[in-house]
Amino acid sequence: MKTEDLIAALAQDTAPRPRPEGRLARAIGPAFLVAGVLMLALLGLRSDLGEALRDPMIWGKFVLPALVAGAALPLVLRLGRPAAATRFSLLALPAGFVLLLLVAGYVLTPEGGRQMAWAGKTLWPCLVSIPTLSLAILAATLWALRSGAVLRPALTGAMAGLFAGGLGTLIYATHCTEDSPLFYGSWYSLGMLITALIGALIAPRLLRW
Amino acid sequence: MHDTTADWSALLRAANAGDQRAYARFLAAVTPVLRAVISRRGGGEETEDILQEVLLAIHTRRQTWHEDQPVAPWAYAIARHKVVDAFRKRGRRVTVPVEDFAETLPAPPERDPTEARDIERMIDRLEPRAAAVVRSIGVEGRSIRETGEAMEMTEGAVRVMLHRGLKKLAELRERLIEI
Repeated sequence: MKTEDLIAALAQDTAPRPRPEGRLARAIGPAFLVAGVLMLALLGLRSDLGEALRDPMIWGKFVLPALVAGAALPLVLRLGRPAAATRFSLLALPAGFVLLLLVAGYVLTPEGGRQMAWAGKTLWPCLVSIPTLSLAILAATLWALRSGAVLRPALTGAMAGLFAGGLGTLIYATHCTEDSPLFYGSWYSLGMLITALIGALIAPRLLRW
Repeated sequence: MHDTTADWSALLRAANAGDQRAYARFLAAVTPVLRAVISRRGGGEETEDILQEVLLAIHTRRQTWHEDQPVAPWAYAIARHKVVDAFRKRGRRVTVPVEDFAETLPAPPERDPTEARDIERMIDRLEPRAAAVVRSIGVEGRSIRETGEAMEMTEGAVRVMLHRGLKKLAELRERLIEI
C-alpha cells in the first residue's frame, strides 16, 4: 500500500476515539466499589468510626491519602498525552503534609509512648492491605491509560500507583484503628509508595504502543 | 520549527471535529517531515514501512492531542517514540533528537511508487470483510459510499469496519516486528 493511499484511508475514519480521562471516569466508580466491598468483606469498618471522625487529630488519616490521590491524578492524565506539561511539584503538597504529620505526632506524643505509637500493632496488615485494596483501582487507571500515548511508562505507572494507593488507603483508613499521626504518617505513606512501585513495575508491559 | 506547523493545529482541530478533508491535509502535511527524519536516521528501504507505522500511531492516538496544546511537539513526540521503537524492533538502536524534526526539510517519497510491504502483510491478517474495506478505500481509492455499494453494506457499517480495521492494523503493527 502506498503511503498516500494509507492517508486516504485514515482520513475517512474520523470517528472519535476514547480519551483516557473518559475511560477513567467510567472505570473508577466500579473499581472503587470493588475495593470498598473487599474491605468490608475481609476487614470490616472500625466499630467506632462515627466517634473517631469527630476527633480532628484523626482527620489526617483521610486528608493524607486524599492529597496523594488528588496530586497524582492530574499527573497521571497528563503523562498519557505526549508533550503535555507535567508539574511534579504538585507532589510537594502530600509530601509536606507527611512531614507535618510526623512533626505533630512527635510533639504531641509523650516521650515514652513515641516508639509504640510509631510501630503500632497492625504494621504488617496495613502494609499488605493498602496495596491489595488499591489493585482494582490501579487496574482501572492503567486500563484508562491504554487509550493514551504514554512515553514514560514506568514513571506513569508509579503515578497511577500513587493515585490508586491514595484511594485504596482512603478506604483502608475506615477500617484501621491506629490513630497516631506517627503511625499513619509513616506506614500509610509506605503503603502508597509500595503501590506506586507495583504500578511502575507492571505499567511498562501494559502501556506499550 | 516549521512555519507550516501553525496550520497543523487548525487542520487537526477540524479533523477531530469530523472534517475528513482537513484530516487528509493534516496527514499529507506531516508526512514529508516524518519521512525525512526516518530517512535521515537510516530508514533506507524500510522508510515507508516505518512512516506508515508512525501515521497509524498518530491516527489511533490522535485523541491525546488537546486543542490548547501546540500540535507540532505532540506529533513529533509520537513520531519519535515510534521511530525509535521501529528501529529497535528491527534490531537497531537510534536516538532521534527533537531538533531533527525542526531542521529536516520535508522529503518526497524515496522510491516511486513507494509501496510499503509490511502493511500488506498486516492487511492480510485482518478479518476478511475488514481487509476488503481497508483495501477498497486504501488501495483502490474508493469512497465510503462506493465501497458500501460494492460490498452491499450501509455507509455506517463501512465506517465501523474501516475504524475497526485501522485500529486492528495499528495493533498488529505494534506487535509485528517482535515476532
